[in-house]
Amino acid sequence: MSLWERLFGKKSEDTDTDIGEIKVHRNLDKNFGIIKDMLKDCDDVLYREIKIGIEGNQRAVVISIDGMTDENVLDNHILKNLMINSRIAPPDIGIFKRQIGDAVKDKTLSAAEMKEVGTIEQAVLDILIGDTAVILDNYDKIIIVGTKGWEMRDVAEPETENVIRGPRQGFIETLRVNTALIRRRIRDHKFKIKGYQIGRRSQTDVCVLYIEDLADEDVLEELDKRLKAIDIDAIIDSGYIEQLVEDNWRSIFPQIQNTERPDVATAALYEGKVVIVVDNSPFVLIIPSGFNAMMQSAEDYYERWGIATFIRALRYFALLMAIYMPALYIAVTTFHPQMLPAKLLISIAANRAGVPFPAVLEAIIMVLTLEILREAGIRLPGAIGQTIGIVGAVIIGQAAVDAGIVGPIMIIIVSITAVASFTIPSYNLAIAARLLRLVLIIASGFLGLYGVMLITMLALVHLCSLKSFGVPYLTPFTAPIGQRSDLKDALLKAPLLSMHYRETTVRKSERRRMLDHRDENFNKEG
Amino acid sequence: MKDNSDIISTNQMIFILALAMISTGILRLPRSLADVVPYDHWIILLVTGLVITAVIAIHAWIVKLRPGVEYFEILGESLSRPIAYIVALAYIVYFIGLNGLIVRIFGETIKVYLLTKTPIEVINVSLLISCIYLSRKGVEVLGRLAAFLFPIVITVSIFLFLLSFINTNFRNLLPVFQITPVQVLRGIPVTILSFLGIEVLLFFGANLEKPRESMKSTIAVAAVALFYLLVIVATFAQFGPVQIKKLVWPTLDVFDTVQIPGLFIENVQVVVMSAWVIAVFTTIAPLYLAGVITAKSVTGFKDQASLAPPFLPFIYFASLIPKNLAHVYEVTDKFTFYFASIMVGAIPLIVLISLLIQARSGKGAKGNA
Repeated sequence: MSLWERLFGKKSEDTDTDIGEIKVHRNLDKNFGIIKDMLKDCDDVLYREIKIGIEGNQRAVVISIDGMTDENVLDNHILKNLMINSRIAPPDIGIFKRQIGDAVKDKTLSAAEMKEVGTIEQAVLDILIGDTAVILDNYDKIIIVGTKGWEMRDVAEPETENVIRGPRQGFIETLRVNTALIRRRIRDHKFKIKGYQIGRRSQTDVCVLYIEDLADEDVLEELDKRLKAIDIDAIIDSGYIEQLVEDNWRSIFPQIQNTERPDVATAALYEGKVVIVVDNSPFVLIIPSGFNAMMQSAEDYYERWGIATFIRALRYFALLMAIYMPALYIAVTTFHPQMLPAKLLISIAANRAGVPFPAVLEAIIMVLTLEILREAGIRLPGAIGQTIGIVGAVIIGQAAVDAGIVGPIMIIIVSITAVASFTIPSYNLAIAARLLRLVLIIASGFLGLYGVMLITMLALVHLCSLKSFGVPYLTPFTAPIGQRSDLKDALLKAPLLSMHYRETTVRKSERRRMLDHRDENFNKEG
Repeated sequence: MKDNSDIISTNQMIFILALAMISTGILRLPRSLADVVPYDHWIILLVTGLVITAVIAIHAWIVKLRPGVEYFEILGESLSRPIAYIVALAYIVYFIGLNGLIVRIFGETIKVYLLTKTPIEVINVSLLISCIYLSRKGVEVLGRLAAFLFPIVITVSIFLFLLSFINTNFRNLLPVFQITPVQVLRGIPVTILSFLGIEVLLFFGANLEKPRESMKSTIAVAAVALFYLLVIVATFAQFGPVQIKKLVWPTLDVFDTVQIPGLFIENVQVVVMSAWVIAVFTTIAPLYLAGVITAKSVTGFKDQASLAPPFLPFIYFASLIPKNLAHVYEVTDKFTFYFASIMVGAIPLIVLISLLIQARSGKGAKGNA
């Protein structure tokens, strides 16, 4: 436990001491003046000057931001209580004079989230987050009432990572909703949510989620170090955090998995991984995550194991096809025609007879066309995007063959490749595969099969050198023999009943996931 | 964080060794054996396997005696500092020479089977450049690469050799137990080439996670010997000893005979050549890395990454020394017989004896005091 104290014990003290240097003055007008000066020309700020007490001699100011506060709380639990209820049931006047702060805080304001801050800067920051500041005359603290509430998107089915079977919820842009979606799936007090504020100007909320006795302490410590090292003016999306904390920013391969699905994030937490939720982003990050995690889909775990195994093997095969098919075709037709059966060779030669370009150029033309179509399809609004896909695929392809620019076999190969690359669940891994495919096409154009193998070896060396927070990227494929039990959940998906242990990347003490309490004779008859 | 700590497990070491052994030697192994005797090649192979096991046991023993110490330091400790520098330089020359020869043979095969019109220089240099990339990454990455590739390469090759059994005549293997001990002794030197690569254990030994388990490295030799046994049986059963003498690379020619009716790819050359590139890459890269590591300890240079590229021109020129393919094999045989046996066998033996004597006298001194 000492580590937790070392890690986070000191941190909690830090949050007690407010940022900024301007201490709150006892004089209301001075405080109000400073804040007004800081929030000059911010027309969305609401100032409400009120008078509290039976005689109305206690002045106060309520400051909030229009559009970021829950007006129900503001009206009924702050203003109404301060202005009306405090008159109906007045507290003892003596106390009221001496301990005005306590009287207001503990007896008048009926909101759930409340705190006091000692500096103006902290108060302004809290106002900007969406809370409401109550400034009292003759009191050297500012009361902050939690009134955050703004228009947000409904929790809807995520656009990416679709499944046939599985929950239909997706993360949204509000951090608290996202953490609540995960909390609903983990009713365990060991599940921790640790907050950071990153970005000098944006002060974006970033939460690190983990299950205390499952997550690797080293990963948490390293993540804490890397998050604290970030000094940037703004965090716009979780993609910023991903790029700032990942191990190797030069690589084209993603080393941090992102997901829009609460069930995927929760499953990762139960595996002992750490999840980062960033405000204003529906994509949460999962670390450490390797190649294997990005080839898995949530559905693999909800479907029967035989089906899941077949689909997963199919997905790996599709990945290989997406990377290698055009390159192998070029290599074999250009450099090693002797490797093909004679009949096939004749058919290919007849197809390519009218094509003026070498196979490499043909492939590059088609692959680039396809990439352009894909990009155009994403950028264009929904219905038109699909139209572009059909127009591009069918009409351009047909026309290109008719015009004799490319051979029909090349069209087939490039389209199969494209379809195959859509089966990769992780979008950023799919992009990496596409880039690799382009490199392979060029290499095979120069050196044939040998070039393909050479690039393969280079890519493998690179993949082997990658690590995600200390976990080798290609785990479990590169794991020592003793730790290859993780292979049960890699190329294959073993039956749930046989997966008694968590991944070997988590701490050894908490490896066991499941116990088998079934009767010994259970299932014996069949 | 445990980043680039350059620690490898015993398993990974075994994989590295096994893949380092399997390389160009395998192409000619049946031919070289057929030149010595017409029968009982498997006995020669098993005897050589035992010899190599003894050699690797010496290496493992050294690693075990001085856990976590670089080989250059061990050399200095056992043979005195000045001699250590000379021996280390000899090792560097040895790695350059061996790599040069392997690269040359590799280039020749690629030229014959894949890229008939491409200049061999392009093939050699591009392979060496990719080895530089690995050498910059270090032993840890090599360990993971080997662990990833070993199951694939072995499964694929065993499958391919099993395919070749479809139309073989096992009578070609007869007669058995006709060999004389003298013939066995004559066969050993030509077989040793196929096992070169074990010496990387000395250089990567300092990176072992558990140096106590270094003796397990002998498993690699056993595995490779078994694999070679399969190769020899497959080639001899296919061609017979007389025909093999006329083939340059009988091991590759075996696959030309594989014909599976109804298969999309008529011959399995695509798969064979892919596996071949992997096998050679995983031999040259460790040797290259071992050379870089030696150079690093000799020069006391901190930055391993910048030491890797200077090796390329030397290896490249070494690969140009033999005039033609026949000359390549002449040079290789001499290289293996004289240079390699000294560097891999004799010097480690001397080092081990010296270490043992030191340990004995050290103990004695302690006992006296």
